[in-house]
Amino acid sequence: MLPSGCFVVAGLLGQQAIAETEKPYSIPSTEDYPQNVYWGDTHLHTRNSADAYSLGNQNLTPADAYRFARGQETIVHNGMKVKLKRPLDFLVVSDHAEYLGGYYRYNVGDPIVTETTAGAQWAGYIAEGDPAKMMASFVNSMQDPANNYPFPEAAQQLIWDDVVRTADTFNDPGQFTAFSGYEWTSMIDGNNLHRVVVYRDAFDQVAQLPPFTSQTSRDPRDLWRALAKYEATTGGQVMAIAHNGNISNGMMFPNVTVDGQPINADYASLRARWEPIYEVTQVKGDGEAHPTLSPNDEFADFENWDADNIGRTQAKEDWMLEHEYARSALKLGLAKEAELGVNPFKFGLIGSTDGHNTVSTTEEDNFFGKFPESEPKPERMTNAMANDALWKNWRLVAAGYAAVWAKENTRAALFDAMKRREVYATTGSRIQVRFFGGWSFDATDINQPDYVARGYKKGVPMGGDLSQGPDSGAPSFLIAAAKDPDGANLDRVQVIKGWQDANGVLQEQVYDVAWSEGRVINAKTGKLEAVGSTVDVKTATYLNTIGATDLATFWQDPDFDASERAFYYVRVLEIPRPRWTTVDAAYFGVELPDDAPRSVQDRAYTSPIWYTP
Amino acid sequence: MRFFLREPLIHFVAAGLVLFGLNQLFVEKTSEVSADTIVIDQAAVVQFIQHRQNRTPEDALAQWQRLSQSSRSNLIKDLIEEEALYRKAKAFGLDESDYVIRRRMVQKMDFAAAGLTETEFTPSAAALSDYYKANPEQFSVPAQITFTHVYFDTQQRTPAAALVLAEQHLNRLNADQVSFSESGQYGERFAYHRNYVDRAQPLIVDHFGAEFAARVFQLSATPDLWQGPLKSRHGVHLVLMPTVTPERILAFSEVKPKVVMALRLAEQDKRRQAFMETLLAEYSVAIEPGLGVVP
Repeated sequence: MLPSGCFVVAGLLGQQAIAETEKPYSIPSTEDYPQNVYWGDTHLHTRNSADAYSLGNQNLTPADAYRFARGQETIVHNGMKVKLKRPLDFLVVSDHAEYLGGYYRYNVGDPIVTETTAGAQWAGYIAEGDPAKMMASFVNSMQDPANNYPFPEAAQQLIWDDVVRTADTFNDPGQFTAFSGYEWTSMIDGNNLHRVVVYRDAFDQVAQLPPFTSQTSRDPRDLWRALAKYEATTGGQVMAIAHNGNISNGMMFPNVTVDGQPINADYASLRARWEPIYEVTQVKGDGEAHPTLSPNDEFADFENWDADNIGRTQAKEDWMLEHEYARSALKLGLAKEAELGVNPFKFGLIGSTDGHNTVSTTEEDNFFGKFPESEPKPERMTNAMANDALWKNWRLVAAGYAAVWAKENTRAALFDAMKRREVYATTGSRIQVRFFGGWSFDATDINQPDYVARGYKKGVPMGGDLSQGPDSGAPSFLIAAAKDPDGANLDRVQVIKGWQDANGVLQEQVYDVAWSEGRVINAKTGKLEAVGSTVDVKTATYLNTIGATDLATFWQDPDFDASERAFYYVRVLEIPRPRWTTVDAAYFGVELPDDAPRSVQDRAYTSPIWYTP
Repeated sequence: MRFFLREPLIHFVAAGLVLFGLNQLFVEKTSEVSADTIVIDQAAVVQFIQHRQNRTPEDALAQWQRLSQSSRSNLIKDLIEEEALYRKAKAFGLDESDYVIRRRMVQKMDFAAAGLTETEFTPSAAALSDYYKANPEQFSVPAQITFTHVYFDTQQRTPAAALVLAEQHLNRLNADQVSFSESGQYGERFAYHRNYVDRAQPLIVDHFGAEFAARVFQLSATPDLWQGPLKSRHGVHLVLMPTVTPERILAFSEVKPKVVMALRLAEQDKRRQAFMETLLAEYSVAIEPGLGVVP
């Protein structure tokens, strides 16, 4: 209740004058932008996942996963002790929703499971002396739910209550964030459409509805509708994070829906709404780019898994690749936006592990595999996943991390950052990256101690949008990368631009924008000289005698056309270091498989900044 | 529906615990000494690894031969426990040779041994309070620091020159009473953060090195006073440190659900351990000398 408009104006002016000379009382409030990068894994399985349990993870629980993530030593299935050098800041335990917790509970005689129709069916298999059939019902239940009985909702609810309560107990605002989550494990004709579902909320909201399973529907649109129902029912917030487009045989970023209709504006809006980020790198392959799609990018051939689909039912064909990799999907999104008015593939990038042995490990020299069978042991490089049914385990990628720029380590702050895409992926190192785009940066801004404040003030951070720039001039970018303090030096920083040209053709270009000293771009090839290698394969060691500890630059797009939709993201490459297989070979004294790369250039991928005319 | 499902579970667990409480009565002592002996020889170890990790016998043997002493001991411990649980399960009348069945029996026994589902675990207020008091490290927040810094690179100049530059700035920063939010107007771009807000020591060690981290936590907590110079692995820093929050134990009321969970997990471990001790006392373990393991 103010007496008059005049007083209001005078009062405001007076306050402003004082505020400029007065120090704010609360220190953290002096910077109104995210100052911390938090490291975590949004995709990890425990014995509550049917496949993990079947393949030997019978004892390590979600509670064990949280304790390990927080730095506690754990004994895994091969008898070894394992501990993270640096604990994680957050974790999503994302066990498969289908028969969640079911095999363990069945085996210990828990009536929640044994008294279900599925439980009775499994008892039959066991009585017939065919327990393998029970294990197969996990996959069969998604393909053929009519003959493999999903748990009734009441049983699902009781198990879900337990999962959510455990997450709440280990959630420690300010110290460690434990999100409730699960994986929706949709597979169609052996093609991977999996999504991890992550909640922002606590038990009182999350437990109101049980997880949505692919036994109910394998159509992502039904998952999105279920997420919408959750938000409408509870007032909470939730998102889905897709992964492994590389084993979807063209279905992850499609032109058509699962029932064969061209995707429309409705599909595009739903996908953009519910899937703000994509898990671009993990243990089953890196999905940033593919050499066939990006023949001029000498770093695109990186830990790709491109033989077939997740069911191994159909070999890869070239047409599929465009619909599987993040870079091409971001490009397709531009074309879809031009066509439909909405960009369905406007996603930020994170990495995660998809470990199934309860321990989240990403580092080349501390990598504990996917299933118990690929925990460190001499033959893990020559055996193959899932009782030798799937791919050779030497192909496993020691990856990855979700890096989140946020003001504090809480569910709300981290979830909100993921939603606004102020996140990035790494393939297992803690490389720090800042990336801002804007119209009015000065070239000297990046050299200032307050370049971050300038980045936020004059531009947008990773995940943001640029539009309606000045009449002339191109967008410019502030980019700063620092090495993992406990890792390898940096080779180079690149900007990757994708755009749709005037003829409607999708284009891409990789720009080297900053690199360690002593190298030049070859005028003939346009390529920056390789950084070299200090890796000694025999001893599995390397030296930080090449590369840079940090790289920062101002960069302006030299080929900008204001009428063309575009996106820009940053890729940071480390110098080569021994791959985990090389570490294994040295430790166990065994031969490396011929095809296994000896060294690896771990890297970071930022979320893009989009330009829309 | 919820209660319908929950109730039999309680019965199952209760029955299991009673059963194991009385397990001595059910054990059938045989006249042969070997029945009470768990023999750990190479064949047993190979079979264990083979089944647990789905390996061929050759792979399992190769793996065993390359394991460290401590990993071998951990595996042997698991094997002995598994064997003891299996024999006990067999003694209860289940007898199957298939390994999947064997694991199922073992898990059932193990589950019942640990007991305690969430629904039946209602510890007394005194038990919770005792656990909270006995395990303060589980309910504490580590010391945290908030500071901003002005940084001078030692790559583009000598460390000595950086120190001189820092000293000059120190006087100026204090004379001008430069505030936390104004620190970005001085010095040079730092690779990691300019402001550190409520961060614990490991992160400071990660970003600056151990020496800097140790020193910065020991600076006097004088507000508005720029302190330093401090050396790090990157260069030289001047530090304005408004707050160090010492390590603190969270109040019981703040962490009660965590205490319940921690006590439940600890109680399960304890029951399981007690059960295993009783169980293993029924057997002698004979480890083949050639295996070279002390469990």
